[in-house]
Amino acid sequence: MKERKVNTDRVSAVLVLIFSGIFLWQLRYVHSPLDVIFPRTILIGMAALSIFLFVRSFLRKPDPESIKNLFGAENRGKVLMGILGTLLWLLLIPYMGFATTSVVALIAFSIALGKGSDRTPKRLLSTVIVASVIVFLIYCFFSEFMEVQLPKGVLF
Amino acid sequence: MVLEGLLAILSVKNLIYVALATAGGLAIGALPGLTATMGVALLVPLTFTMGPISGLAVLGAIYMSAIYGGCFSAILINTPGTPGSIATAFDGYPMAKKGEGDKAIFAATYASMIGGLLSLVALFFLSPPLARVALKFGPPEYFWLAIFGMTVISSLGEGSVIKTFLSGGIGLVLSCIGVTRMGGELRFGFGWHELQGGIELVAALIGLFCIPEALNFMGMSGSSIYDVAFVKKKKGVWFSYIREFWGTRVTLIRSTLIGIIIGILPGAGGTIANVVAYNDAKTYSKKKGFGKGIMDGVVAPESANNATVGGGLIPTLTLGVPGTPVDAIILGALMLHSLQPGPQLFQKSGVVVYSFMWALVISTLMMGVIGLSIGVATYRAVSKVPTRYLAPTIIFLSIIGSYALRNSMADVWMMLALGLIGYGFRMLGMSTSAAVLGLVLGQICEEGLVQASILSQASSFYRVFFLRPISALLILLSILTLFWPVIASLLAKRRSRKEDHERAKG
Repeated sequence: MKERKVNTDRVSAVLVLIFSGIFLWQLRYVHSPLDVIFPRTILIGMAALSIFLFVRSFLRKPDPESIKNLFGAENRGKVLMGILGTLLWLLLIPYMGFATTSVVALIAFSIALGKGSDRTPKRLLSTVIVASVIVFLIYCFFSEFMEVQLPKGVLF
Repeated sequence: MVLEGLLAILSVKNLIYVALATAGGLAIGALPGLTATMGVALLVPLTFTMGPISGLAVLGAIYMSAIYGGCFSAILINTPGTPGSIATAFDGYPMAKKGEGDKAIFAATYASMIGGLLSLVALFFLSPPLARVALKFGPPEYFWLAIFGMTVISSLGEGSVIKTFLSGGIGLVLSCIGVTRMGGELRFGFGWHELQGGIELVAALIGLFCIPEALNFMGMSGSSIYDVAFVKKKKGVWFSYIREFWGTRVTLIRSTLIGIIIGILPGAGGTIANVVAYNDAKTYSKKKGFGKGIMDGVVAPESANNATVGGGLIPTLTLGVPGTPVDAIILGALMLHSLQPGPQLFQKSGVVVYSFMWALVISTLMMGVIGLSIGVATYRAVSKVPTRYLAPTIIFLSIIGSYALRNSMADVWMMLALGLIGYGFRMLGMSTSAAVLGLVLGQICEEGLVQASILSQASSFYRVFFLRPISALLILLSILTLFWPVIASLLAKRRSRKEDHERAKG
């Protein structure tokens, strides 16, 4: 499949313009003039700058660094897996508990990010031990020493 | 009384307490999500049973070392452990990536130590006159101080300056989320009541720095995050570090002074001091390569943030006005130990107060040994950890750190959302550092602006905003900093033209 490159200046300008528009719209719900002046000034400035950036991206020869394939990272599959895995991790914490979910997540990530040679029984055992030790130590530090009430689920 | 205070702290028991508290403070500072404020606040009840001298010594040692400990994660994994170490990551992490992490930790350790010690000298000898400076700072001065801090945004990004400004603007807008100060309305709440308290700064810091870095490590093909070939150094390398560190002395002294002055100002603290000091070093230093990994870029923020400790204690002890949130907790601890901060404190309870100040000195000296050895060992260890373990561990620390702030999963989700925004920033060539700076300075800036606007209703707008001496100085510094690259290039051109002219003559 052919990689499609985009001008990141143009994309940034459009996204910031949308961001500024949404937030400016939200300012309608704020009634005190003194609470509006600061964000409005910033948002109008941002909108003006992003329009300038957008127009300039058509008029000027683009900087080579601004032209790239946004999703063309070498290991984009792993990055996507990282994002989805973290979302799943957070969703499961209230049900499975902080410690259990974290051990499972650390083991799963370590296996998924490793190479084929990292998946031998011996390596897998060491992965389980490393993940359990990391979670145990940090969990104990936060829950026992710093007295943070970490979420508990079915197990702990 | 100064000597009596020293003798009181020099018992074996107290020294062990201070050493343990220093090591504990380092861990608290280094872990993203745990701040000096949290560490000191949690340990106040534990110090009740210790007696005032030991108890206050423990709190002081934790305070000083936690502020320093934030540099470890900033240098090693590009994640400031405390808001006071934001700017340390700008040059510290590039140094670690080049295999110079031990040099960065060396510089951070001794800059923190010297900054901390000099601020304590100011606390010992210059408390009354410096405390009076704090009282001269009103809302317009805070507004201009925030504007001065923001001028660093122009030089943060590597690519387009416009995109860096837009990133800073996004940070400023995000700082406006939450219940407003004047009308008490929910601004930019989008119907989520979780946003009433605004974006928790530390959660934002963790998200914007940690998550993009962890995702980046996941996508890496190599086994280590650093250039491993350079991590193992030859013997005698420390002498070259000392020589290079000596070359940063001007930056060190200037940043320490900035830290002391900002520390004295109520509410400012290390978060602003480290950014302002970095900005100042980048603008006025003759050295080039800021942002790419140079020692001055680590020395400036680290000396400044530890200098706020002594600076912040000046109004706390002499006026009873805390300079930073941690100072407010220490103020409370002093009162719980039946000490009344204020002008009479040194006369009425001199031995306890001086022993507390000596404990800070001892803890700062201990940081040089404990901190350097722990820091360098951690750097060597991290360089050997495969990315398949490191990346999920960073995510794990990010989750637990942001949860610990308010025992709330909402902060964790906010952290993740900001992390994904940070990753988007990286893809688009925008600057997460500028966004964080906007987030940090936005609140101070708006608060100063709003309060000064109210003041100006009773007086003239120009008089309130522009004609107060400290405001005028800050405006001048902001303009100078913003236009310094242009001024410097004009001066350089003029100098080279003059040289050419003289050469042609000769």
